[in-house]
This record gives sequence, C-alpha cells and structure tokens, in this order.
Amino acid sequence: VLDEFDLFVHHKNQTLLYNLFDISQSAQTPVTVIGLTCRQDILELLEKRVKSRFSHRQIYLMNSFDFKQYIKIFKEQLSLPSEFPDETFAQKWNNNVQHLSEDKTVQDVLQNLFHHTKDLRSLHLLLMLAVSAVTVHHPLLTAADLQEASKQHRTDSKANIVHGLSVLEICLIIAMKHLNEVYDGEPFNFQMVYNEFQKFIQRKAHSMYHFEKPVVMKAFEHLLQLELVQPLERPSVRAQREYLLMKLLLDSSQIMDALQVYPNCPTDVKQWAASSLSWL
Amino acid sequence: MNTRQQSKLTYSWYGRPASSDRKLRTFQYKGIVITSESSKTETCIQLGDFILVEGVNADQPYVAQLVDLYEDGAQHKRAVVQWFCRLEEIPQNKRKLLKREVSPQEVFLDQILGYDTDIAAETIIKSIGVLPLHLDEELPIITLNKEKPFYVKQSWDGKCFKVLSPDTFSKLKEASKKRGVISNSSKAFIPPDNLTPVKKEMESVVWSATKPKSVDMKIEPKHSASKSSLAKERHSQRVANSDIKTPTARKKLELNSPTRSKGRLLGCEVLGLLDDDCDAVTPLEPSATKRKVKFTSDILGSPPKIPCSNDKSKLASETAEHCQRFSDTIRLSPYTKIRDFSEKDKNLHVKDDTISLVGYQKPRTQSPMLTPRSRRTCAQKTSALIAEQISVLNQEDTLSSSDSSYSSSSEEEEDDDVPCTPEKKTKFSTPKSSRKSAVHTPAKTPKKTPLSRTPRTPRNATPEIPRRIQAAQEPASVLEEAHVSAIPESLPCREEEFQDIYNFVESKLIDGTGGCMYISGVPGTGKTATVHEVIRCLQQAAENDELPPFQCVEINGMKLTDPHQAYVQILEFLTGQKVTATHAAVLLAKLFSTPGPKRKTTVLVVDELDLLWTRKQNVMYNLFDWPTQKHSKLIILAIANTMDLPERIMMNRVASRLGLTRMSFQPYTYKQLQQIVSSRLKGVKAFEEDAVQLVSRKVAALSGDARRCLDICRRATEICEFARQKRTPEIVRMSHVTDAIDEMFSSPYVNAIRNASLHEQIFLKAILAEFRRAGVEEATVQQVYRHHVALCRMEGLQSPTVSEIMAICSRLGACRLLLVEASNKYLHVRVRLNLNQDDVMYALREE
Repeated sequence: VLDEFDLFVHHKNQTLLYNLFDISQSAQTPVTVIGLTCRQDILELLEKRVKSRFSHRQIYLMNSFDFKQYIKIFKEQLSLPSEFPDETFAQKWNNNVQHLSEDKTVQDVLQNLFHHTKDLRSLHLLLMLAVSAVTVHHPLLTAADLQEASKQHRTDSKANIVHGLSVLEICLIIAMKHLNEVYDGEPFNFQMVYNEFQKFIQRKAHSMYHFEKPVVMKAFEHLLQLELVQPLERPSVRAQREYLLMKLLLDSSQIMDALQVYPNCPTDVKQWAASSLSWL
Repeated sequence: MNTRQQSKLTYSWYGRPASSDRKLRTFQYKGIVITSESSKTETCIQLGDFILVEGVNADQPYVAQLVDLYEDGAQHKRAVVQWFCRLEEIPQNKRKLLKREVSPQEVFLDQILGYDTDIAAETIIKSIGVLPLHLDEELPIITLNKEKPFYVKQSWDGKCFKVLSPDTFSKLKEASKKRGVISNSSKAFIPPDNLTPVKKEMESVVWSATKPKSVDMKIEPKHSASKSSLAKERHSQRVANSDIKTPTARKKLELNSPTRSKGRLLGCEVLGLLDDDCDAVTPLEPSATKRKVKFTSDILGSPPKIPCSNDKSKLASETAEHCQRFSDTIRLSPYTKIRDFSEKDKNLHVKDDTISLVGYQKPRTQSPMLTPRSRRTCAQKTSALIAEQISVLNQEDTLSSSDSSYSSSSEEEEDDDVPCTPEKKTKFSTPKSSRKSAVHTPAKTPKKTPLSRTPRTPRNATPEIPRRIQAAQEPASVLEEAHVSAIPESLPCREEEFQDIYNFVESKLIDGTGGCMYISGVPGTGKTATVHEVIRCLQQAAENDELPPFQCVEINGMKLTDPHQAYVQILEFLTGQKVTATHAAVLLAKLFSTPGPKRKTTVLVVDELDLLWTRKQNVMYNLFDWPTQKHSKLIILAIANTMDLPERIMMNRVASRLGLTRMSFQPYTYKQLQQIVSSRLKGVKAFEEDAVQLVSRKVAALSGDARRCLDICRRATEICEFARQKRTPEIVRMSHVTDAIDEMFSSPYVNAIRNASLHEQIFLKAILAEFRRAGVEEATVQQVYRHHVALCRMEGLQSPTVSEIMAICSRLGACRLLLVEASNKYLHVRVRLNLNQDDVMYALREE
C-alpha cells in the first residue's frame, strides 16, 4: 500500500513504481500494489511505460452522502458507547444527543458546515470544540455550545489579527484599503500609504494625535511581520524601504467586519473607513 | 597472488620440437622456459605440469594442467590444457550440491566442454602443484613450500560433482609426483632423454587420442590389457581423454540450465567396463607399481565411493546411483532400439534431443538425484535428499513445482516397484518406457515452449483473492489466463519480429561475432516478451547442440539506480564479482577487448535503453563499442520505446556504433488484439465474439497496448462474475465489457464535482463567472471571493469567511480540480481550472 501515491510519482524515473508494477505483472511474486492519493489526475502523471503496466483499476471514494446521513453520522460520533462505565450518564448523554440532532439551531449549524465541506474531519473538529466545553457543572452538551464552537470554527484568522492591532495600524490598513479602491488593486508603497494617512490626519487633526513618520514606519513594519501586508519583490539593499511595492492581504469586507467588532474604535476612523471617497 | 609484468617475461621453447605436423605446420614441444629478466630466473614447465593461467580476474588465475605445447604456422606459441575450476567459478546455486566445506586451495577437475582448451602460451604464469586426494582425505598441511599446492578431490561437469575416476586420479597423482621430481632438479636442466618413458607415452597418446572412437576404445583394452603395463598406462590415458574429448561433439550447456548431459554418464559406463578389465589385469602384473596397488585397493576397499566402478558385477541394487542410471536407460530406449548400429556420437545427439523435448520436468527431477551420488548408500537417504533438493528447486521456480514433485514421486514409486536387475538393457520394453515416450511425443512440435502448462492448474504465482478460487471453477482460469503475467505458449501476431530477431542472434552466434540490434515500440506491444521468447528458443537450440552455447545477461534501465550500475550488474553476472561501477567498467572493457580462453558468446538484453542515457553517454558508448571489438563475442539487443532514439538523444559516435539493425514493433491492430485475447482464452467459452472485438477495437484505437486489453478483459470478467452471484451464470457479454471500459476510461472529474459540497460547487461557479467577466482563464481568489459572496446572497446562504474560502480552494486544489499557486500569497493566489469549463458547467447543471 502506497499512501500519498502522488509523491511516489515524483521519484526519479518512477523506478519504484515501474518495478512494483512489473513484479505484479510478472507472476514471480504475488504482489498487489494499492496506491492512495487525493489527486484525480494521477494517471496523467505516470510515465507511459509505467502507465502501461498499471492495471487501470481505480476506485474513487466520494463523500456522496446527503444531509440526513450527515446528521446520522453526527449522532453516531457523539453518542457514548454501551460499554461506558457510568450507564445512567451514558443514557442521559445519548438522549441529549438525540434531542440535539432534532434541534433546529443545531441542524442549522450542521447544515452550514455541510454546505461548506462534506469532510468528516471538519465535523470532528467542530464536535471536539463543542465537547471541550463540557465540565462537571455543565455535564450535557447544549445547542449553544455547538453554535459557539461553530463560530470559533468559522472565524477568519486574519480578521482576528486585525482585532489585536493598534489604532494607528488600523488607520494604515484603512489607508491601504482606500488606495486599493482608488487604484483598483494595484500595489502601493509606504510613501503612498503615509500620504493617505497624512491627509486623513490633517482633516481630523483634533481627534487624532499626530504621529512622527518613523513611528508610522514602525507600525507599517509590524503589519509586514504579521503578513497582513506582503511585499511584491524581495527587499533589496538598494531600494529604499519607503518605496517597496506592497500588497494588502485583506479584503475590504474583512476590514469592515473587523472594524465593527473592534473595541473603542474612534468614530472618525470608522467614518473614514466607511467613506468611499477619502479626500472629501 | 602475483601481478605479472608482461615485459619482463620471455617465453622460449624447451628443447627441440618433439614432433611436427606438416599439414598443420605445427611443432610440438615438451616444455616451455619462462625467463624472467628482472630476477634472472628461468623456470621450465613441461607437459603434464600444473600451471596457472591468466584469467578474467587478476587475483584468481585459472588452474590447469598442461597437456600439449606447440607452435602453430604463424609462430604463435600455443598450449593445450585441461582446466580445473575453483569453487568461485562454479555458479552459486550449484555449490550447495557439494554439501561440504571446501578449502580455498581446492579445485575441481573441470569437465565442462564449452571451454576452449587451446590457449596462448604467453598466458601461462607459472607452474604449481596440484595433488589429487580422495574424498574423505583431509587436506595435508604442507608448510615446507612457500606456495600452497592445490588439491583435487572431485570433478565438475557443469551439473554435478563426481569423485575422480581411478584413472584420472592415478594420472593426476603421477603428474604431481613427477612435478616434484622436476622441481627438485629444476635448476639443473634435464636433458631431453631424461624424460621418463611414461611421459613420452603420454604425450603421444594425447595426440593419438584426439579423435577417439568409442568403438575401438572398447576393443582395444581387450588385447592391450594383457600385454604390458605400458599399454595399460596408455589405455588409462586414453580413457581419461575420451572422458574429455568424446562429448565435444555435443553441445555445451549453460551453466545453470538444469538439463543434464547424457554423455557423462555413458562415459562413466564405458569407464566402468574398462575398469573391469583393469581389475582383471592387475593381479597379472608382476611389475605393478606402488601407484597401481593403491589404485586397486581403492576400488576394493571402498566400492560405494567410486561411482562408476564395476557396476555390472556389483550393483548394489538400492543405491540411488543405480536408480538413476536405470531411469536413464529407460528414457533412451526408443532410440537405442531403432539405431543400434548408429554411431555413438550421433546417438548422444539423439538422446539430448529427447531430453530437451521432454522438457524441464524431467531434468528437474533428475538433477537432484544426480548430485551427491558418491555419498548415498541407501534408498531412504536418497528419497530424503530428493525431497530436500526439490524443496530447494521449488523455491527457485514455483511454476514447475507441482510438476516436478509429482513426477519425482512417481519415479520413486517406480523404483520401488520394479526389482532392480543388473541387466538394464533388458528393461527396454517395460510399460514405463512407453509411458515416458508418450510424455515427450506431444511436446515434439518444434518451436513450442517446453514449459508444459496445463491451463487449469491453480498456480500460486498469480495474485488472487482466495474467494475467487472457490467462487467459480471456470472464470478462475479465465481470469488467470487473461492476467498479463500468465505466460502465453506462443506470441501471436509477432511471428515476423520473432523470426527477425531470432535470425539475427542466431547468425551472430554461429559466426561467433558481436552485433547490436535496436528494438523499439510503444509500451505493451510485446517487445520484451518477444526477446525473451527468442532467448528461450535459442537456449533450447543451444541445448540441442544446434547452436554454440551462449550466456544471456539481462539488464533493465528501470531497475538500475544509476546508469553506471549497468557495468556492475553485467560484471556480476559474468564473473560473480562485486565491484564499484568504475572498476567494473574497466574490468569489462578488458574482458571484452582481450581474447579469453574460456569465453562464451554473451547475449546482452538491455531493456529501457533510454534510461541509460547520461550526459556524456559513456555507458551507451561502451555498451555499443564492445560488440565491435574483435574478441568480444557480444550480442546486444537494446529495447526502448522511442523509434528515433538513436537520432534523438545519442551522439553521433554512439548512434553509429549502434548500427542500423533496427526493428520497430507496431502497435497491435484490433485484429491482432482480438487474436491475442482469444489465444489466451484458448477456447474457453467465456467471452462473446463481439465483446472481444469491442475491447480490441477500443484499445487499438487508443494505444494498441496489449496489457490494457487484457486488463479490460479481466475487469469485464470480474464484473460478469459479480453479476453472476445474483443471477444465472452467463458468459461475458457486451454490457460487461462496456462497463469495464467505462470504468477505466471515464473521467473522474465530473463525478468528483457532483460529489463536492455545496460551497465547493458555488466556488467553481464563481470561478466560471470570474473567467467570463475577465475573459482570462485565470483569477485570484480575491476576485473569485467576490463572486462567491454574490452567489451566496442569491442562494440565500450565509456567505463564508475568507479562511473558509481558502480552505475550499486548497481542497479543490488537492483534488487537482483546480490548479493553485503556492499558498503564501493568501488572497492573491492565482487559480486555474484543471479541466474544461464545459465539463464543469455540465457537471454543475446536472444538479
């Protein structure tokens, strides 16, 4: 059995595969080769003489179940086995699971996940998150737990990072967003961002503290380290850091979402972000 | 042992020519003097001495006994020798037949007939001592001399070890004794007259015995035996010689081929007859030397140890040796009866033919019986040994295991049943002989493979699910038949190519020259199978003595880790040495460029030649350069897929050496494929005519790959069998075949898309939308994301976050529905569809 079969294909000359297939066809030794891969196009990667020796027996495993079966799987996964020591608790737990599976909110959560992926692994992950909330004082799983877990499961990692940024950094990101809108996704450099930021400061000087350029630069580099911003080319010694071309790795909707939940955000900044024409 | 510097040694004849042959313009000499200029020493080697001869391997010179020295018309000094072989020269798988520890100083009297006994005198290194010993004798520890002498206990004829016959033994003994005398007085030159009369005699006998007729061999002893000791000496000499020379007419065998030669045995029988005479004579000799006394005592003292002695009179009826000979005669019977008067040589031919026609089965069972003859005393032991040997053989070849064990047991039974009478020749007309001949007659058809293969026999070699063996009687065999590994009896539709290759190799073999042939063709067109078939037929022919013997080396470019490993493999096969690639290249170059005494023609099959390509192409250059060497005797069959490989990847000098002997295997047409399938199925009514035709047409249109064709047939049979479990039995119909074809050729993508989750499908839709908008078949995730969100809004679904989109994207990328860039660019990762847009549309619309 060769797991991750596609990686064997990349061996030099596919010698291993050739020999394995050859042996399996030559009656010297009873050998069956089973290759496992997630790639659909694996056959096209085989060399012609290796392909010729391959038996062309393929079995595709698809997640072809529908939502009802998905719920069933959910129940089975969550139920306690009969050999569980505390029988009364097991009964209680299992009844609860039965209830849960009929609950509307739970079904919504599962439906959502099911729409995203039929992957059972992600279901396991979700259930793990939910079950980890179970404590002595809170012995039974509730629909709320599952919802919470689903929320955790779904959260956007980059948006989360935005939550932890300082106001200055948020301002920079908003500036970048505006630049992106103005120039339709063209790359920008620090100087452009700084200019944009300066314009905003001049308009709303009363609410914002005036930052020095090096301080802004520092904040910008912090964003770079968080990989919210990515340079287009490798930084060279000659090019000044201010003029390196950058790209924002966030979508505008992400930024807006993040700003909604950002605590204590100055209203000016929020307005600035929402306004499509920044120079007005 | 010694590294000889050629420049410092001069060879000159010792004494005047003893005799000369005017016709051949040769002069014979009694000795040769090797003068070393560096150390100012002279060594004189005389006839009968044991010498070391330069071999393939510098550390392992060949051991031989000097039989004759002469100068040919072109003033070249030549020597005729009797070879001895070291244990290293015996193939690994035969060594275990010896069943005892062998000291490195032990050699075996070499009776393999394929080796050239005529060598250049310049290859002689020096003389050494060889002492004959009896089998149970310990090696004497000699510390007097610096050089260690060699010891001979047994002889080796390529198939089995035998105890030295008393004659050879005594002859060797004498020669070694004489050598002691000579070496003592080697400083003072012995005048020619000083030679013992015996030696003179020996010399003349050697040459009179060059064309011995076994007929007069039988007659001669009768009158000579009573005459004089000299005559007896002469007689024994002749017997020994006949041992060596009579069978030269017969073929020389591949070392590892299991067929045993009959001639040996016959020679032994003759020897036994002669021994009778000797025995009768000895008491009459008043002047019997010490040597002779010893010789007789050997015979009387330990009769079971001497295999061939006095079997007429003493026949221990239960000995394995006897049984073996007994069965031999039976097999020979039909011929001996018919051709009683025919020449012996011819007779031997015929016998060989019979053996090979009978096929593997018999030789297999025969060889274990042959081997440790000298040691067997009772039948129980024999059968135990046979069982042991067979189990060894079984491991070697599972295919014939059932056959061989069956027939061996039956033979044993026979041996038990029939009381063993000393008069073997009277047994000719027993029912058994008719049975035996019946066995070989159907196999007589020429060109047919000897592998007697019954179609229904369940062979453990084919990989199978246990369930299937029990499931159905018929399809099990059909499935096996269709398996690619099942060796077909003949290769249909490749007769022409077969004949071409066969003729090419055959002509080169007969000429004793070298040559190259390039064979090309797309995969699954039977190139390798045809070449294997050719080799098999040639080996068959060589065994039947129609062709000179050859050895076959096969290397596969795919099975080498590095092109240079080819050298190592070839060398290991030829000499058994394991060295580094560069050293092996040097050794091989030396081997093929210098004339070797024990050289057989080599057929080298190079499969997947294109993988031996290196930047400097030195591997290919060397491979194709060797056959052009005068002495190489190398035939190369190179196999590859591309027709124009020589022009495409080879340098000019390599391509020119490859020559223009090309052959290309065309892909099979549907008719040929049909024929192949039906020949495989061999009349078993399992497939509908049309179904076979459909398969072959389909495959022929695609690739013409026979392997693919057989695979489809197998699959179709399986589907049919599966269906049969529910319904009534039926043969494989069109529907099954179509199912199988669909299963193999259908694109997995559409299916995969249909089974994807909702958001994955929406993502694909978004990609299509983005492509349509931009007009470019490439988009970043960010762009697709916007479409995705819009689509979600339309469907009334909760729109996924970017992280989720990225997860979906990478999942689709892993399935290779999408081609995705390295993921460090996050939202700006570029995405491309790995399949046609229409396919995606089709798959999504079905919902």
